Amino acid sequence: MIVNFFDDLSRWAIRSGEIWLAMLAGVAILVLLFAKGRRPLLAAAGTIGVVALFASWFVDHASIEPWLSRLMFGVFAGLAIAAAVLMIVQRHPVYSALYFALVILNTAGMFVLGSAPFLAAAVVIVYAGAIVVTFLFVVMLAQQSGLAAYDQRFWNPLPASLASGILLGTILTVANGVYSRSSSTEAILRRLEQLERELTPANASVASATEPKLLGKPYADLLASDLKDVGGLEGEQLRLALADATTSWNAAWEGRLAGGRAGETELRASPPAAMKQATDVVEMSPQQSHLLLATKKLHFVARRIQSTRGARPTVALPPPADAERLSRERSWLSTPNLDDKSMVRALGRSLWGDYLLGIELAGTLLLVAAVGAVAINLRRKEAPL
Amino acid sequence: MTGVAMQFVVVGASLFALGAIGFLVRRNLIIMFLCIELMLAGATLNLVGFSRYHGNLQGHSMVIFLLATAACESAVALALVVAIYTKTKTLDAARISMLNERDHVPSKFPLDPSPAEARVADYPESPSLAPAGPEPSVGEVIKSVRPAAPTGGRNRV
Repeated sequence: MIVNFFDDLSRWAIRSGEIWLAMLAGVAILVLLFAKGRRPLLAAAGTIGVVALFASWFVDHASIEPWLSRLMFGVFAGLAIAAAVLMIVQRHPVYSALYFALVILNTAGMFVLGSAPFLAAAVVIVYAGAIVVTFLFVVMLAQQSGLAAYDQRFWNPLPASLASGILLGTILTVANGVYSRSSSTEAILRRLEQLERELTPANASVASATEPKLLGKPYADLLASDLKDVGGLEGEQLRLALADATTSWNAAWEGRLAGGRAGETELRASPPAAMKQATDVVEMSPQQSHLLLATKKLHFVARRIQSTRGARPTVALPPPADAERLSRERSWLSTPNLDDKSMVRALGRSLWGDYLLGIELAGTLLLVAAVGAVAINLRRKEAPL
Repeated sequence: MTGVAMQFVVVGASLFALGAIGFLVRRNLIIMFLCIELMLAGATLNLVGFSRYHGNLQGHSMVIFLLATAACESAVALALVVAIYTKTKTLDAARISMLNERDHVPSKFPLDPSPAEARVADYPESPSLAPAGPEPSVGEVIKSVRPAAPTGGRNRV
């Protein structure tokens, strides 16, 4: 116990140490870049160093399985951060705006890798297409001949860089504990909860139930990969329980369309869950009750996996009051399969279904902003400021 | 889906911090607004990462709203920049301080590394105000504001 504690503590210190080392180096580089005179070699070397420090920590603690997408994400991320640094130290406003466009393009690349293709297109159109062009237009309009004095002189960069470095280091240290461990369990739990809710009313249609898949992968593989962190006797027990629950769920899922009697024996085989559900199981079809029980079993195992791995407990959703609310929740809470094809459709349905009021308000905001932009620049006869 | 959210959080938080540094350090109004946009871009990255982590589309919807808000913000901000430029012929954030008092300028920006004379020279139009006296009583203020109120008017205090 104590050994484990110190092990965890030292591991945390090493991790956070890397974060804070990278932050310190980043602050130093930024201050040097903001200083007068050009030091391209120093800047290049420093940027490479910081990116390498960052990347070593990154590859260690946050990895996705396919190496190609990991590599592409790294390239996009490095380019985005480098372009952002160049944007804020660049003396010439036009170059700053162009570097901002580069940041946005790399962000769009990361969106594609994060399975958000529609957002990638939208960001490129809105930011790179509209906002950057408007910025360039205003820069050209308000450009003085040569470099303005206020573009050469900055406020003192050291306190700003230090403060932001501390902010970033703190965010990363906290997020490291929450997000760096692989977890699909959370999402799978939501899928299973939804499936349970669909199956709970009597005479629910078993044939049209949503299969709890995640990004096209079956839940069982994902749960098993989450279980890799858990060692010892407890991990062994959980692995057995997961295998048991998976086989019974698969049998129930396969048997839900066939009118087999397989459910009856399984029902008797797992008495604790069956006793709890004994009252409302009576009027269900055997396939439905079988599937419901198997789902509950799997849900239980998934919950145990989650609590063992030290993740935060899921906030249980309130049970739906009626079918209308169920269908409403279904539209965004669980897109059955988060792949690229259904993504855009699901996003549209979510926006114009769940967030209809928000969309209208955003439209109103745009209208007000357009009117305001015109009103600000109306030519009036008035005394100079 | 292992650890993808962390990658998005790392990049998003980095962009946010860089935008914050730029906003605090730069003096050009346009660059300051660009830095705000950079911070918003970091926020969108975070939202997409969270959406991926939880396996639902709430984050994506938030990004759409964020895009709309960013568009509004940049429209109004750039209109303000153009208006300020037509009036003052400068984009220096330090010069957009018309409510400044000339004598107090050096203490306003303790972080500005330039010498005090240069800072005072930055604000040629700032007025030199007489130091304020003791706080006047309410009766005096009313008298000075309304020296000759119309007789029998309803506005009389």
